[in-house]
Amino acid sequence: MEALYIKPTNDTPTIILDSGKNHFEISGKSLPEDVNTFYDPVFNWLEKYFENPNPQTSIIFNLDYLNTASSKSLLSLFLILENAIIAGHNVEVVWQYLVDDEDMFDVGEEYSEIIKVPFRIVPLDVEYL
Amino acid sequence: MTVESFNQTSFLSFLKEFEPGILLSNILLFYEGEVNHEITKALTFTTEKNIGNNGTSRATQKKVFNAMIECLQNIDKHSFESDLDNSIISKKGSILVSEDANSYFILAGNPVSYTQKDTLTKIISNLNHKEKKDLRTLYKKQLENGKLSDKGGAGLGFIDMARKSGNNIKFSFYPINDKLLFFVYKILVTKLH
Repeated sequence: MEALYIKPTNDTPTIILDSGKNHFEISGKSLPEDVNTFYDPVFNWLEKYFENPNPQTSIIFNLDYLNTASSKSLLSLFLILENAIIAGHNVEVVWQYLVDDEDMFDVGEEYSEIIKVPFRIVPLDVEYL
Repeated sequence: MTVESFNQTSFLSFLKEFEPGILLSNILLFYEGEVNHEITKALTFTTEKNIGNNGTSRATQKKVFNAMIECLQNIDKHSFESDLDNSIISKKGSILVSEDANSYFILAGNPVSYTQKDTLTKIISNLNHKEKKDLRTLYKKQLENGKLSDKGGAGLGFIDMARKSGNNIKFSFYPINDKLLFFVYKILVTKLH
Protein backbone atom coordinates (compact mmCIF):
# COMPACT_ATOMS: atom_id res chain seq x y z
CA MET A 1 0.00 0.00 0.00
CA GLU A 2 1.33 3.42 -0.92
CA ALA A 3 2.61 5.39 2.06
CA LEU A 4 1.03 8.69 3.06
CA TYR A 5 3.49 11.42 4.01
CA ILE A 6 2.27 14.92 4.81
CA LYS A 7 4.86 17.56 5.65
CA PRO A 8 4.17 19.76 8.67
CA THR A 9 3.04 23.37 8.36
CA ASN A 10 2.64 25.94 11.12
CA ASP A 11 -0.94 24.73 11.69
CA THR A 12 -0.91 21.07 10.66
CA PRO A 13 1.11 18.12 11.95
CA THR A 14 3.52 15.74 10.24
CA ILE A 15 1.74 12.60 9.05
CA ILE A 16 3.70 9.42 8.41
CA LEU A 17 1.64 6.39 7.46
CA ASP A 18 4.02 3.85 5.98
CA SER A 19 2.98 0.20 6.17
CA GLY A 20 6.17 -0.95 4.35
CA LYS A 21 8.38 0.50 7.08
CA ASN A 22 5.76 -0.22 9.75
CA HIS A 23 6.02 3.44 10.77
CA PHE A 24 2.90 5.33 11.78
CA GLU A 25 3.22 8.75 13.34
CA ILE A 26 1.35 12.02 13.83
CA SER A 27 3.41 14.80 15.37
CA GLY A 28 3.45 18.57 15.73
CA LYS A 29 0.76 21.22 15.93
CA SER A 30 -2.84 20.67 14.87
CA LEU A 31 -5.03 23.73 14.37
CA PRO A 32 -6.02 23.54 10.70
CA GLU A 33 -8.46 25.97 9.16
CA ASP A 34 -10.66 23.06 8.13
CA VAL A 35 -10.18 19.88 10.14
CA ASN A 36 -12.15 17.74 7.66
CA THR A 37 -10.07 18.68 4.63
CA PHE A 38 -6.90 17.90 6.54
CA TYR A 39 -7.93 14.68 8.30
CA ASP A 40 -10.15 12.98 5.68
CA PRO A 41 -7.17 11.61 3.66
CA VAL A 42 -5.72 10.28 6.94
CA PHE A 43 -9.00 8.52 7.83
CA ASN A 44 -9.30 7.09 4.31
CA TRP A 45 -5.75 5.77 4.37
CA LEU A 46 -6.23 4.08 7.74
CA GLU A 47 -9.55 2.50 6.79
CA LYS A 48 -7.98 1.02 3.66
CA TYR A 49 -4.87 -0.11 5.58
CA PHE A 50 -6.92 -2.00 8.16
CA GLU A 51 -8.47 -4.12 5.44
CA ASN A 52 -5.10 -5.90 5.40
CA PRO A 53 -2.83 -4.52 8.16
CA ASN A 54 0.60 -5.52 9.43
CA PRO A 55 0.65 -8.08 12.31
CA GLN A 56 1.29 -5.26 14.79
CA THR A 57 0.46 -1.57 14.34
CA SER A 58 1.85 1.03 16.77
CA ILE A 59 0.81 4.59 16.05
CA ILE A 60 2.88 7.33 17.63
CA PHE A 61 1.22 10.59 18.60
CA ASN A 62 3.62 13.34 19.57
CA LEU A 63 1.50 16.46 19.53
CA ASP A 64 2.73 19.80 20.65
CA TYR A 65 -0.63 21.52 20.35
CA LEU A 66 -4.16 20.44 19.57
CA ASN A 67 -7.11 22.83 19.26
CA THR A 68 -10.59 21.71 20.30
CA ALA A 69 -11.76 21.29 16.68
CA SER A 70 -8.85 18.89 16.05
CA SER A 71 -9.58 16.96 19.23
CA LYS A 72 -12.85 15.82 17.70
CA SER A 73 -11.05 14.62 14.54
CA LEU A 74 -8.57 12.72 16.65
CA LEU A 75 -11.45 10.96 18.37
CA SER A 76 -12.75 9.86 14.95
CA LEU A 77 -9.29 8.56 14.16
CA PHE A 78 -9.19 6.55 17.40
CA LEU A 79 -12.59 5.06 16.53
CA ILE A 80 -11.03 3.66 13.34
CA LEU A 81 -8.37 2.03 15.51
CA GLU A 82 -11.01 0.69 17.87
CA ASN A 83 -12.87 -0.88 14.94
CA ALA A 84 -9.62 -2.50 13.77
CA ILE A 85 -9.24 -4.08 17.21
CA ILE A 86 -12.82 -5.33 17.12
CA ALA A 87 -11.96 -6.87 13.74
CA GLY A 88 -9.17 -8.78 15.50
CA HIS A 89 -6.08 -6.73 14.62
CA ASN A 90 -3.23 -5.76 16.95
CA VAL A 91 -3.17 -2.00 17.39
CA GLU A 92 -1.71 0.27 20.03
CA VAL A 93 -1.37 4.00 20.53
CA VAL A 94 1.90 5.45 21.81
CA TRP A 95 0.99 8.85 23.22
CA GLN A 96 4.13 10.90 23.73
CA TYR A 97 4.14 14.18 25.62
CA LEU A 98 6.82 16.49 26.97
CA VAL A 99 7.27 15.75 30.65
CA ASP A 100 6.29 19.28 31.76
CA ASP A 101 3.18 19.36 29.59
CA GLU A 102 0.48 18.27 32.00
CA ASP A 103 -2.33 19.38 29.65
CA MET A 104 -1.12 17.10 26.84
CA PHE A 105 -0.79 14.21 29.32
CA ASP A 106 -4.43 14.82 30.33
CA VAL A 107 -5.57 14.78 26.70
CA GLY A 108 -3.92 11.38 26.17
CA GLU A 109 -5.34 9.98 29.38
CA GLU A 110 -8.85 11.12 28.47
CA TYR A 111 -8.72 9.50 25.05
CA SER A 112 -7.48 6.31 26.68
CA GLU A 113 -10.58 6.36 28.91
CA ILE A 114 -12.99 6.92 26.02
CA ILE A 115 -11.49 4.55 23.46
CA LYS A 116 -10.97 0.82 23.82
CA VAL A 117 -7.48 0.79 22.34
CA PRO A 118 -4.30 0.01 24.32
CA PHE A 119 -2.62 3.32 25.12
CA ARG A 120 1.00 3.68 26.16
CA ILE A 121 1.48 7.17 27.58
CA VAL A 122 5.16 8.04 27.38
CA PRO A 123 6.79 11.15 28.87
CA LEU A 124 9.63 12.66 26.85
CA ASP A 125 12.41 14.74 28.38
CA VAL A 126 12.06 18.45 27.86
CA GLU A 127 13.94 19.46 24.76
CA TYR A 128 17.07 21.50 25.23
CA LEU A 129 17.36 23.44 22.03
CA MET B 1 -1.80 57.50 20.15
CA THR B 2 -3.57 57.40 23.47
CA VAL B 3 -6.49 55.07 24.05
CA GLU B 4 -8.86 58.04 24.40
CA SER B 5 -8.39 58.91 20.76
CA PHE B 6 -10.11 55.70 19.63
CA ASN B 7 -13.58 56.46 18.42
CA GLN B 8 -16.58 55.73 20.60
CA THR B 9 -17.67 52.58 18.81
CA SER B 10 -14.35 50.92 19.65
CA PHE B 11 -14.78 47.70 21.61
CA LEU B 12 -11.89 48.90 23.76
CA SER B 13 -14.32 51.08 25.70
CA PHE B 14 -16.26 47.93 26.67
CA LEU B 15 -13.07 46.15 27.67
CA LYS B 16 -12.15 49.12 29.87
CA GLU B 17 -15.58 49.15 31.47
CA PHE B 18 -15.41 45.39 32.07
CA GLU B 19 -11.90 45.43 33.52
CA PRO B 20 -10.86 48.98 34.48
CA GLY B 21 -7.51 47.82 35.87
CA ILE B 22 -6.45 46.35 32.55
CA LEU B 23 -4.84 49.58 31.39
CA LEU B 24 -2.50 49.44 34.36
CA SER B 25 -1.22 46.00 33.41
CA ASN B 26 1.37 45.43 30.71
CA ILE B 27 -0.60 45.13 27.48
CA LEU B 28 1.01 42.71 25.04
CA LEU B 29 -1.62 42.78 22.32
CA PHE B 30 -4.81 44.53 21.37
CA TYR B 31 -6.72 43.69 18.22
CA GLU B 32 -10.12 44.75 16.97
CA GLY B 33 -11.65 43.77 13.65
CA GLU B 34 -12.66 40.77 11.61
CA VAL B 35 -10.97 37.50 12.51
CA ASN B 36 -10.08 34.70 10.11
CA HIS B 37 -7.67 31.79 10.24
CA GLU B 38 -4.67 33.79 8.98
CA ILE B 39 -5.25 36.57 11.51
CA THR B 40 -5.69 33.99 14.27
CA LYS B 41 -2.31 32.48 13.42
CA ALA B 42 -0.54 35.83 13.07
CA LEU B 43 -1.78 37.08 16.46
CA THR B 44 -1.18 33.85 18.38
CA PHE B 45 2.22 33.00 16.90
CA THR B 46 3.51 36.53 17.54
CA THR B 47 2.28 36.59 21.13
CA GLU B 48 3.58 33.08 21.80
CA LYS B 49 7.01 34.09 20.57
CA ASN B 50 7.03 37.32 22.57
CA ILE B 51 6.10 35.71 25.87
CA GLY B 52 8.55 32.88 25.17
CA ASN B 53 11.34 35.44 25.01
CA ASN B 54 10.70 36.84 28.47
CA GLY B 55 11.39 33.67 30.43
CA THR B 56 7.81 32.47 30.87
CA SER B 57 7.61 28.70 31.41
CA ARG B 58 6.69 26.59 28.41
CA ALA B 59 3.57 25.28 30.16
CA THR B 60 2.27 28.81 30.83
CA GLN B 61 3.15 29.90 27.31
CA LYS B 62 1.06 27.05 25.90
CA LYS B 63 -1.90 27.86 28.14
CA VAL B 64 -1.92 31.45 26.89
CA PHE B 65 -1.55 30.26 23.28
CA ASN B 66 -4.38 27.79 23.80
CA ALA B 67 -6.75 30.36 25.28
CA MET B 68 -5.96 32.85 22.48
CA ILE B 69 -6.65 30.26 19.78
CA GLU B 70 -10.01 29.31 21.29
CA CYS B 71 -11.01 32.97 21.83
CA LEU B 72 -10.13 33.93 18.25
CA GLN B 73 -11.85 30.85 16.83
CA ASN B 74 -14.94 31.83 18.81
CA ILE B 75 -14.94 35.23 17.08
CA ASP B 76 -14.21 33.67 13.67
CA LYS B 77 -16.97 31.03 13.96
CA HIS B 78 -19.38 33.43 15.56
CA SER B 79 -19.35 35.84 12.63
CA PHE B 80 -20.95 33.05 10.53
CA GLU B 81 -23.88 32.49 12.85
CA SER B 82 -27.28 33.00 11.39
CA ASP B 83 -29.28 34.92 13.93
CA LEU B 84 -27.02 37.96 13.69
CA ASP B 85 -27.72 40.73 11.24
CA ASN B 86 -25.32 41.45 8.40
CA SER B 87 -23.90 44.64 9.85
CA ILE B 88 -20.16 45.20 9.79
CA ILE B 89 -20.05 45.42 13.57
CA SER B 90 -21.47 41.94 14.09
CA LYS B 91 -18.57 40.43 12.10
CA LYS B 92 -15.93 42.02 14.27
CA GLY B 93 -14.41 40.97 17.54
CA SER B 94 -11.69 42.04 19.88
CA ILE B 95 -8.89 40.47 21.90
CA LEU B 96 -6.54 41.94 24.45
CA VAL B 97 -3.66 40.09 26.12
CA SER B 98 -1.85 41.56 29.10
CA GLU B 99 0.17 40.50 32.11
CA ASP B 100 1.12 41.47 35.62
CA ALA B 101 3.66 39.84 37.92
CA ASN B 102 1.51 36.76 38.62
CA SER B 103 -0.81 36.22 35.68
CA TYR B 104 -1.64 36.58 32.03
CA PHE B 105 -5.07 37.98 31.13
CA ILE B 106 -6.86 37.24 27.89
CA LEU B 107 -9.90 39.46 27.32
CA ALA B 108 -11.99 38.63 24.29
CA GLY B 109 -15.34 39.68 22.99
CA ASN B 110 -17.74 40.03 20.11
CA PRO B 111 -21.29 41.23 19.46
CA VAL B 112 -24.04 38.71 20.21
CA SER B 113 -27.82 38.70 20.02
CA TYR B 114 -30.06 38.83 23.10
CA THR B 115 -30.91 35.13 22.62
CA GLN B 116 -27.22 34.25 22.56
CA LYS B 117 -26.74 36.21 25.77
CA ASP B 118 -29.01 33.82 27.65
CA THR B 119 -27.34 30.74 26.19
CA LEU B 120 -23.82 31.99 26.91
CA THR B 121 -24.75 33.03 30.45
CA LYS B 122 -26.09 29.54 31.12
CA ILE B 123 -23.06 27.77 29.63
CA ILE B 124 -20.36 29.82 31.38
CA SER B 125 -22.15 30.05 34.76
CA ASN B 126 -22.46 26.28 34.69
CA LEU B 127 -18.71 25.90 34.04
CA ASN B 128 -17.78 28.35 36.79
CA HIS B 129 -19.52 26.19 39.39
CA LYS B 130 -17.65 23.04 38.47
CA GLU B 131 -14.67 21.36 40.09
CA LYS B 132 -11.71 20.34 37.94
CA LYS B 133 -12.78 16.69 37.83
CA ASP B 134 -16.33 17.61 36.80
CA LEU B 135 -14.99 19.80 33.98
CA ARG B 136 -12.99 16.81 32.83
CA THR B 137 -16.10 14.61 32.80
CA LEU B 138 -18.04 17.29 30.94
CA TYR B 139 -15.25 17.68 28.37
CA LYS B 140 -15.19 13.95 27.70
CA LYS B 141 -18.96 13.82 27.38
CA GLN B 142 -19.00 16.77 24.97
CA LEU B 143 -16.12 15.29 22.97
CA GLU B 144 -17.99 12.02 22.52
CA ASN B 145 -21.46 13.44 21.90
CA GLY B 146 -20.99 16.99 20.65
CA LYS B 147 -21.69 17.52 16.99
CA LEU B 148 -18.93 19.27 15.08
CA SER B 149 -20.28 22.38 13.41
CA ASP B 150 -19.07 23.47 9.97
CA LYS B 151 -16.57 25.79 11.58
CA GLY B 152 -15.35 23.21 14.08
CA GLY B 153 -15.64 23.87 17.76
CA ALA B 154 -18.11 21.24 18.91
CA GLY B 155 -18.90 23.30 22.01
CA LEU B 156 -15.61 22.38 23.60
CA GLY B 157 -13.90 25.77 23.56
CA PHE B 158 -15.20 27.23 26.81
CA ILE B 159 -14.86 23.94 28.69
CA ASP B 160 -11.28 23.67 27.46
CA MET B 161 -10.43 27.24 28.49
CA ALA B 162 -12.01 26.77 31.93
CA ARG B 163 -10.03 23.59 32.50
CA LYS B 164 -6.65 24.67 31.23
CA SER B 165 -6.70 28.06 32.94
CA GLY B 166 -7.94 26.53 36.20
CA ASN B 167 -9.74 29.79 36.99
CA ASN B 168 -13.32 31.00 36.67
CA ILE B 169 -14.28 32.79 33.47
CA LYS B 170 -15.47 36.29 34.32
CA PHE B 171 -17.92 37.60 31.72
CA SER B 172 -20.37 40.39 31.00
CA PHE B 173 -22.59 41.95 28.31
CA TYR B 174 -22.87 45.60 27.23
CA PRO B 175 -25.71 46.85 24.99
CA ILE B 176 -24.59 48.13 21.57
CA ASN B 177 -28.06 48.75 20.10
CA ASP B 178 -31.53 47.18 20.36
CA LYS B 179 -30.39 43.97 18.60
CA LEU B 180 -26.81 43.48 19.73
CA LEU B 181 -24.82 43.27 22.92
CA PHE B 182 -21.07 43.16 23.32
CA PHE B 183 -20.16 39.87 25.01
CA VAL B 184 -16.81 40.03 26.81
CA TYR B 185 -14.99 37.48 28.94
CA LYS B 186 -11.69 37.10 30.71
CA ILE B 187 -9.43 34.06 30.87
CA LEU B 188 -6.89 34.26 33.66
CA VAL B 189 -3.77 32.13 33.32
CA THR B 190 -1.70 32.00 36.50
CA LYS B 191 2.04 32.08 35.79
CA LEU B 192 3.74 28.81 36.68
CA HIS B 193 7.41 28.91 37.51
